[in-house]
Order: sequence, then C-alpha cells, then structure tokens
Amino acid sequence: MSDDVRLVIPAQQDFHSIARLVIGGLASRLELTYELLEDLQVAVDTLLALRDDEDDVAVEVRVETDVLHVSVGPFAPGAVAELDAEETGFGRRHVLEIVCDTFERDERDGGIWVDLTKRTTESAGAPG
Amino acid sequence: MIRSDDEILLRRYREEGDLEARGQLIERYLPLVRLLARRYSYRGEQLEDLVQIGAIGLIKAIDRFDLERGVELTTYATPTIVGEIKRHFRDKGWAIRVPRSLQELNTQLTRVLDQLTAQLGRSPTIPELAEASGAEEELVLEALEVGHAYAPLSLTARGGDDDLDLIESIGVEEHAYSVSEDRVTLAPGFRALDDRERTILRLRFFEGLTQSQIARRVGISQMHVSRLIRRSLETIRATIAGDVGARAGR
Repeated sequence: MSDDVRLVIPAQQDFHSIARLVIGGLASRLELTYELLEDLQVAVDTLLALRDDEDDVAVEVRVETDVLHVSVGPFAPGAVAELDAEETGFGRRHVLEIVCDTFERDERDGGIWVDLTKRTTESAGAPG
Repeated sequence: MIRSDDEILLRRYREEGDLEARGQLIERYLPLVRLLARRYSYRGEQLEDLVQIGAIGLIKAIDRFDLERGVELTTYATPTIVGEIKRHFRDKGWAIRVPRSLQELNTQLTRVLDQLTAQLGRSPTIPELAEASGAEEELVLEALEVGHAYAPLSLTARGGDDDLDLIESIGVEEHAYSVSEDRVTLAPGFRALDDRERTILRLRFFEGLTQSQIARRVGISQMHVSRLIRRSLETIRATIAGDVGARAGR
C-alpha cells in the first residue's frame, strides 16, 4: 500500500483548510509531532496563498523513510518568482527556508510546481 | 473605605498623570482579573485571552474610578471586569460558528499539548494528543484546525478611551530586547503586526526557536503561539497584497 497522496482542490482560499486537514491526517498516520505538522501546514499554506482563483490546485505528498516530499502546483511563473530571489527582508522564501528542509521549483505538466522536503524527525525545523 | 495605598496611587495618576502609578494599580489587581476570568474559562476560551480582556475592564475601572465615592476599588472594578468579559463573549470569540464540543476539545488540547511537551521533552504526536485527551485522532485534527478560527483579542486592542494600548497600559515590555531597529520590523507587512506578533515571528523565523520554546519564552501556550504565527503570516500576506494592489492602482 502506498503512502502517496494526491489532493486536487479548487484554488479558492475557502478550500485551503481541506489541504491542511489532509496533511494532518497523514501526519497522524506517520506519527509526526505537532510541531512538524505545524511546519508542514505553514509551508503548504504559504504556497496555497499564492493561488486564489477558480482553477484547481494540487497538493501531492510522498512518504519516504524519515522524509516527506510535498509538491504544490501548478503556478504561473510570475506567481512564484519571489521564491527565486534572495530576500533582504521577510517573505515566502524565508518562511519556507525555516519550516522546510529543502524547497525548489520545477517546471512540469505545463506549469511551475514547488517541491518541498521535510525530515520527519524532531530536529527538523531548525534554522537552515 | 478605599485602601490608603490604592488612594495614593490613584491620586498620583489622577492629579499628576503618573502612568507608572496606574501601571502599579493594574499589576496589583491582575490577580483579581485572573480570578474572575477563570470563572468563564470553561466556555471554550483560553484563560490567558480572558485575562487580557478582563484587564481592559480593570483599566477602564481605574480610569473612571471616583475617589470621592468612598468604596473599595475592587468593589467598583469587579462588575466592570466581568462586564468586559461578558461583552467579549457576545461580540468576539470564534470567527466562524464552531460546535461547542470542538471548542472545548481545542481548549483541552491547548492544555494537553503543553503538558505532554513538558512530560515527553518533545512535541507530542497526534495519536499521543488523542490518547491524552480521550478523543479520536480525526476529532483532534478537526479541533486543531478550527482553533485557527478562534480570534483572540490582540494585546494592542484599545483598552479605553485613551490611545494607550494594553501593553503600554500595563507597563510591561514583553521582551528584553528592542526590535525597533531589526530588519524584521523593516520588512514589508511587519508594521501591521503588534509587538507580541513581531516578537514571536522574530523568535521563530530569525532566531530559529521552536513553538514550544517560544511559548515558554513569551509565557503563553504553544497552541496560542501557533495561532499567532499563522495569523501574523496571513496579516503580512494581506498587507503586502494590499500594498501591491494600491501601487498597481496608482
């Protein structure tokens, strides 16, 4: 049985809580700590907030030993441009750097996806 | 008869505008606020939030107290504090309708989360939270999620007719260092946050503290830290979006 999950929801903000609940369900099954769950939810929220439109957005979660891979997309190239730029202050890039272990953007299926990883141990979430 | 030491402080505040005297009175009667707030904490609200709300009633009472009445300050302040808390239940609280059972479970989880974190020396898992609270895991997740619909009163909510916010009124600085020159406060959107929210974001995103470490440092529950982080990030996003929209509209 696979622990891979793919959730497709309308990108409107009202539906974002569904993604949080699904992440929570998976975290519960994997016995992640509350703090790790919070970090994951903040990460997914940060990305979902880039979309608030009529189309669909997908959240994919893949479980490996000690690591969770989460992908969110698709995004228009301009929507995630700020993730590429070095910040002088505080923005989405900085939030993701703290709550995730890695994140990168990937162009596939006709859009931009943001792929996150999060170690499923308590030490994760320390500043990078 | 009013206590003589209260009278001295009240006169210093009234006649000399001595805000330190006012702060001393507030601190002196905060235990009364806590006592009264505890009576209402079973209604699914965080005790600390109710204490903050009750403190607003206390400040109003101190500001309006008539020294010539010849009654104790506690006699005058008690109905004002209780009135403020009751008004909160009428006007504020949960931003969306949340079933009472979930509100109560959320309140219970707030306590259990802190207890388990201290007991285990790490953040608990959802199954551990479920077991300790006697609830199903799904309900625990739902209660945690609806907790974000809870809208605790900001510490910078207006405390009376003047322009002092609650932090200033109490006269207690929440953190030992100044954030005024930090790059955090210069970042877009941060000006929309209050001192406590800025402090919490700084500790989490610039000093790398965990939520439980922040909770201990700031003296609030871990769940409250979590709520404040999410709310602050939303506020920053909304502020930046508003600024961008405003610039685009020019």
